[in-house]
Amino acid sequence: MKRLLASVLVVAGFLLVTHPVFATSAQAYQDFLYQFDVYRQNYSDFQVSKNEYQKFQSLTAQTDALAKTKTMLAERDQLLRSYLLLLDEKLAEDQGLTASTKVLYQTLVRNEASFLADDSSKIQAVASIPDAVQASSNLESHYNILQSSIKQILIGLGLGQLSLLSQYYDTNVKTAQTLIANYSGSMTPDKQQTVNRWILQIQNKRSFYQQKYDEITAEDTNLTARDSQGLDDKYNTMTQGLADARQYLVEGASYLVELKNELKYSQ
Amino acid sequence: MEQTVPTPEIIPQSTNPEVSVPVEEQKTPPPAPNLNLKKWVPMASIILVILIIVIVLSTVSIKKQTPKPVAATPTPTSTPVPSVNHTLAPYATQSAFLNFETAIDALPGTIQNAVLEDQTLTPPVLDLPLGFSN
Repeated sequence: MKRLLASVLVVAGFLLVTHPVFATSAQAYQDFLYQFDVYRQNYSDFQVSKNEYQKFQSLTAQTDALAKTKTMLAERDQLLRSYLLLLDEKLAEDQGLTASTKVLYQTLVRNEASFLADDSSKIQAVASIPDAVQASSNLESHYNILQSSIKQILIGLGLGQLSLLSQYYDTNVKTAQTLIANYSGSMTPDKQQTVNRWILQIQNKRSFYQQKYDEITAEDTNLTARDSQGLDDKYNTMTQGLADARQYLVEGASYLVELKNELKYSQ
Repeated sequence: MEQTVPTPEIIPQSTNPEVSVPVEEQKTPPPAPNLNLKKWVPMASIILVILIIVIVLSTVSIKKQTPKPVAATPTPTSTPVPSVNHTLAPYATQSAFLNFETAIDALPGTIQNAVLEDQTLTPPVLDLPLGFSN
């Protein structure tokens, strides 16, 4: 019996070592959803108690409103922190971004998480409704910067996906060039000319993609806006830019399919 | 006693010719158009015959012109296929080319379907100001 138990423990330990604990972005997403539910409930309670206080102006209502406000403010910070953690996990899983770019975005996450931790400690010290209003204004004045950081990271993740696609594209173009070089003896001069011309056009599409990619990267690095609307406008423009860059790769890929068909048949 | 024979009244003749129409002449009925009827009957019959002929001819021609409903019989038409002789290149069956073909066929779809904007990362929307009235 002891041997059986020992062998089960060994197998379980082996499985734990070979399959690390599933604490990825999926888990972080579930945590975020949970925190969002908690925040919604707390916000609803806060609104009820605030209305009661404004209606009756009693000490009881004031005490209740203060307690509910403090809880809501703390949960608000917690919700934003869980969202930042989700972004951090996504960044860690990303395979398209360079290491230096990833570090840049992860620094943004850490800075914002640090701000929220500091804000939470201030909320704990709140002792009156005016204190709570003051504590809330701390996040309100910083919210535009937080939103900028979040949108920068979201665009960065999109760029990472594009980068992965372009790597896949480049690999296939290189394979095509190698095959053409190997099989050039079996092709007529006319066909060789056609194939070489098509390769140039495929590379042109890649160049257009790269220009768009660099353009979005530059915009993302310097993303700032005076207000939320301006930020949203810039974000939407960059999102459209990502789609445009992807479209160049799609067009180049369809050229590659045509090239493959041209190579496949000898007249 | 002798009866006196009444003498007819003598109407004084006037100089006006319109007034001086004799009474007998005025009372006579208008002459019947016997002569005109005799003239018009053959004319009318000719016109009637012509009309009948025209009507008959026109109905016959209309019947000939109306197309009979033809039952639509679908005729099978073959889709034109470009007559290009696709002869495989000598290297097209080699494993290197076949691997390349598989990868290239999947490439456009892979790029098109890649998710650039992750919907799970939509930021939370918050109402920040507390809204306490002073």
